[in-house]
Amino acid sequence: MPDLTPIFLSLKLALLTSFVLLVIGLPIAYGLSIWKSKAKIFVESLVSLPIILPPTVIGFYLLIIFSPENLIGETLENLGIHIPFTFSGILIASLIYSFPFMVQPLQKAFEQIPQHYWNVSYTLGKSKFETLVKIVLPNMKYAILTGFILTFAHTMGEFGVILMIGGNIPGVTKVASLAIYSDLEALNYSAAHFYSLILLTISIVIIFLVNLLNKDKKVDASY
Amino acid sequence: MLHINFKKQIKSVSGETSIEVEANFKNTAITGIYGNSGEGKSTLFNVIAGLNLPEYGTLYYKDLIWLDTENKINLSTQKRNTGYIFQTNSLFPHFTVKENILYAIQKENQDEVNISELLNQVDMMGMEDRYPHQLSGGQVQRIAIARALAQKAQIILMDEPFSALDLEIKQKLYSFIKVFKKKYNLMILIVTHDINDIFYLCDEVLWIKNHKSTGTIPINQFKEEIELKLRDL
Repeated sequence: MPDLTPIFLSLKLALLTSFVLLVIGLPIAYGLSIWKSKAKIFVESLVSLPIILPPTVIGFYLLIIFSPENLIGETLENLGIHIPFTFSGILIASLIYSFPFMVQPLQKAFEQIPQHYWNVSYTLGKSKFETLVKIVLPNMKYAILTGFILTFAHTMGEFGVILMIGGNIPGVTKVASLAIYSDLEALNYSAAHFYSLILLTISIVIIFLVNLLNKDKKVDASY
Repeated sequence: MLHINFKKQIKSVSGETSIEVEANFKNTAITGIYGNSGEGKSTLFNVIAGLNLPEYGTLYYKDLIWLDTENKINLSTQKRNTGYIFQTNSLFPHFTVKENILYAIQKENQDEVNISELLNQVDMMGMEDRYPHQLSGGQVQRIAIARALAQKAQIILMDEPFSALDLEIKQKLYSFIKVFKKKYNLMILIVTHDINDIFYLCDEVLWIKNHKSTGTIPINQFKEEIELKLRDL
């Protein structure tokens, strides 16, 4: 049986990326949903950029930024933090690469929450934070789940950006998609099949879940 | 009594304009806020509830100052304790009937409010565990009223509460609101553009014409003015 470490590494990376992006994506998405400025379109374009930017470009620039020859990389190195070719490196790359997959559905959901949900809650004596936690977030649970699942799926399939910033180090940065590539190069087809089948199964389950959520959402929206 | 006097810029179909309202609302009256679409009726409600801040204005409820723009006084929405009922989707869809009412009960009133008794009064016993999408339009509005009672709201603001309802449910709700106003001595303000709502329900009317109104008029005077207007047509 092939080594399961690349699968566990992919799962660990995808889960961590999804959780971290959910935490930082919620306030950013909320801020974008209420922000009224001509500059908003530039920030939104920046958020969407990773969708069209080749992963190798993201990886290339991250390598340059975190290189010990540059200010940021040098400062981090002096603090004992090494980013390129480590798990932290591929996590940072994943956060950037999957950013729009979390922020966009959340921003859309915030924009679709009727303003009077906020207003009624305020008239009932509730604070902005209490309204957000008890009224707004539960009413965008499908968007939160969709964002989480899409981010997870997107991270599971990452290849180029991880190869650039993480290399292909077994047990450290060699995730499932890189393992398929390595095994194929080594003509080890059974292992490549094994990893591919697992990723295929995960993708089918994820697409099924997203469609199921969207179906439930239509029923809920009928009120 | 609620005294209001304000001026606020609004965007209407004809461009930017300002709404100017001065009125005194009686404590135990049902007052209709009447006017065409875009006159600023909902803006008036938002100013009363503290959701919109006018450029200039004063607002007193009983002896308490809610708003005085000159002296930079603006009591927050949370402290004004108004019950706001909308045309549709007045309830939170992810809460059951019981949870919607529970959410409105202030901590200091927790021991005083009996949910079963409230539901009994609005003729909704046995509906505690239903979600808003499982209720009719009239039932949703009755629960929204029960929620305002649980909140112990001082003033109930109803923004076009009947426009999504059919005639039969509407008439039931009319009698229901009249009974409740009497029982709880509530101040109820109803925004509507339907004169029938006013004829059936209201004691007085604030008529907003060309974004301006200088006070409430008794229901009989309103009827006369409407009749005169109809004769001119």
